[in-house]
Amino acid sequence: MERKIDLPLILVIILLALLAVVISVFLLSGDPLRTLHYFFLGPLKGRYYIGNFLNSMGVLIFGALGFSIAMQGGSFNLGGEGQIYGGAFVATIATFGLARLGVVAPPLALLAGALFSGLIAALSGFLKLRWGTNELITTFLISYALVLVVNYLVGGPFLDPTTNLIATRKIAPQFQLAKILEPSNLSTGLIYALLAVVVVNFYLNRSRRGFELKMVGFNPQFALYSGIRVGWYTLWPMFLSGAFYGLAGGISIFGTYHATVKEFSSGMGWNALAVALIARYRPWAIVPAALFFAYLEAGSRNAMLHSDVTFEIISIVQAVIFFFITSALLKKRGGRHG
Amino acid sequence: MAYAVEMVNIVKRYPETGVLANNKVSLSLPKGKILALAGENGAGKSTLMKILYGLELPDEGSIAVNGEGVKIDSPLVANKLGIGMVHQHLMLIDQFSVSENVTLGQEVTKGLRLSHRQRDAEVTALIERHNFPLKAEERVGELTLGQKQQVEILKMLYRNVELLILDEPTALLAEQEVDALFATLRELVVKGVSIILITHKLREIKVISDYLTIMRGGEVVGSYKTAEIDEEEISRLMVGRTLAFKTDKSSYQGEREEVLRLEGITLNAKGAKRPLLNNVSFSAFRGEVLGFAGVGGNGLGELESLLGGFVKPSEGHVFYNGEDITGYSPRQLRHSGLAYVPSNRLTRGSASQASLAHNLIATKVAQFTKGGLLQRRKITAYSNKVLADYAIKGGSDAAVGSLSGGNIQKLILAREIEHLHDYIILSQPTWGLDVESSLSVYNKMLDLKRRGVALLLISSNLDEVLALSDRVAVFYGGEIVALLEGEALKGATKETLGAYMLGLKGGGVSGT
Repeated sequence: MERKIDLPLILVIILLALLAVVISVFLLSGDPLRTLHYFFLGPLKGRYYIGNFLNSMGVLIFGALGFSIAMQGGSFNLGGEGQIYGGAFVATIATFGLARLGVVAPPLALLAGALFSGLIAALSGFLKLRWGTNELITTFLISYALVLVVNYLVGGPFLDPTTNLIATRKIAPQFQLAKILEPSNLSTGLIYALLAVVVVNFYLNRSRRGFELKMVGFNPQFALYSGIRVGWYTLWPMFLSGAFYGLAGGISIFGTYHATVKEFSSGMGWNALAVALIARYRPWAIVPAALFFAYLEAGSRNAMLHSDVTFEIISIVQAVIFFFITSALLKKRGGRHG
Repeated sequence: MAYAVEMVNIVKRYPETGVLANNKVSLSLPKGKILALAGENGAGKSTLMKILYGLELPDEGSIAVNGEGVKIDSPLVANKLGIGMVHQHLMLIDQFSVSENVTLGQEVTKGLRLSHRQRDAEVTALIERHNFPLKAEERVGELTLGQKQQVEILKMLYRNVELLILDEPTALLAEQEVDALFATLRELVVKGVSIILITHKLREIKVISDYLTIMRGGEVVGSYKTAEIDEEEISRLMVGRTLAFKTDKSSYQGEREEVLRLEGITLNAKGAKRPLLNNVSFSAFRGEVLGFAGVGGNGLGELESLLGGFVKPSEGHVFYNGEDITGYSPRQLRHSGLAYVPSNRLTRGSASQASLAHNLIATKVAQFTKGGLLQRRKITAYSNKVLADYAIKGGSDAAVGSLSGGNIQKLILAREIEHLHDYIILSQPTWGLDVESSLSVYNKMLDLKRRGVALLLISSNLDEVLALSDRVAVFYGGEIVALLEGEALKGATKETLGAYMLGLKGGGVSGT
């Protein structure tokens, strides 16, 4: 009934991505074997590395859920970069004002970030509804501008002068998520991400709202004909999408960074999008896809630290994945005719 | 004899569904002749033609074009071999002009630049040679379905095809348009083009084809010279048994109550000189079939969209059981009792990626919701029951896109009849359906009529309109030019309707 998982195809794409890693390492590294060793085994060497590798999964999951929800509702949200960064910043600032509220403060601060990014994304939905502007363009452009605005705020009015970083003040300990695998960065954020998968999956497949959202995604004209409020579902999936991106940002701060560091999230939005593409927008599939991508990311970081390649190697892998997944999707779409 | 195409022992199995769509199917067509490929929905005709056109690959079997063995693994290969196909669901770009669509992929260039003038001139010449009522500069989105199909044929002619495949080309055409199409086809044959026509209209097979191949359940049941076989025999071979074609206009016994009334409905189009609908008024009554006839582009499409809530009238009012429902959205209309079978079953009538069950409940998902959650067991039970009741082939969880066109239409009909309150709009309800399925639709309609439902039937199939309707409104230029009922309707033939539809006869509106 839904987009079926095409397992062999996904495996081929994963193999091609790994092949791209190997080829580029041989091209770029003076000591390819050493680099490959750190790339593939580095992320698994001990608690610290495993923990860090799993930790980045959480953010990818939240972000991929964000992109997927919009896609399921038939909208594109390419604003992940700005919405993650913006959500993180708003959540950080919110902690400063909410600290007195005790136990409810952390969730409230996270929600503030989610709400902010949700509204930013919903703005693109509104523009589409009102003037028919393409949300693919507006989400991207607004996000781009948002990154610059947050950069200014982090580097200006909210700069913490006591550190050498361009960053805000640290959030209070009460907001920091509990660590799971010390000394690594792994926090309870991953658990929240997995919970979010369960919730989103339930929403999309079991609830009436999810049913209507998906119908609009499948065929808006049919949804309109059936009596579904298509206008509302132009806004709502965008809002949810932005909100999940915002949560991705907030969780990063609460779990890992503890302050909004300038451009700390650069690339996260695109990585999350790659994960969503591999998973074909299905919540369950996002978990293994995020695991795979987080592993590649950790591998690149390790290879960079212990050998002579740059972090850009992950960009090559990402490009390969984008290329093959989108071409596979397009081929499918073309082949359905006739 | 020289053959344009020979297909031998073609086997095609769809592994996802396990359907054996073609089982050792063979077919041959002598050069410069017309072959009708007939059969019910799901008989495997479309699959066979997709194989010939390179859209599907056969599991077994061989194909020869002009006597030479070929492997056709894409439409590009088919095009190189001179094979062209006009699909049932037209594949045109609405935003492009006629000539842009016709030359798409074979753009006329002058050096590196596109030459618009030369392109338009070439296409205009082609249009004139074949007497199509088209202009090269017109935007395809503004054309009627009949005209769009002509653009598709032009596209093929422009590519100098030697073998033309047409998938149910007459499905949406008015009587006169069919005649024009057939004249074109005959002319093409004289010029040496060979034609394969997928159809299940018996009369057309007799009128236009030289040869006939009949398929049933994925196999060929026989190949004939059309002149040597009669309509009854064809029908028997297609469905496996003889069918009665007559439908009796059985009547509804209750009172003649008005359900729906349109008063002075006018629909203005942006930039158009003439309104799309001009001062249209009529009433639909309980237990009555109100038929609408008209050539494409004369307002019936707009009437359908208006009744479905997709467009709002510029002037006038719509009343439902006395209540003013002018300008209601589809959602409001659904709540107030609209049941509607749209002519465009793929873009408006269904979501092809969603399951059969979800398509069936989309119009009334609230009834299958408890505390905001879908009641999945109830949905499956309901869906299984409806699929069984309406003899729809497919499982509740299968995607609608995997069904044949006829089964999709049955699914839409089933949903709308189940949704029905006291009136239903049926636009082209039997388009693309085979004889048996059409008949079951007619029986369903008559059954609804006996139950006191008001039926509004918009159809380009005049046989159907005449056989089923108690009154017929004929549209021309966005207006009702004739409203036939009683004795006048009894005496009416397709030619009578045709004269009104083409604007040759006007007036005679008895009014209601």
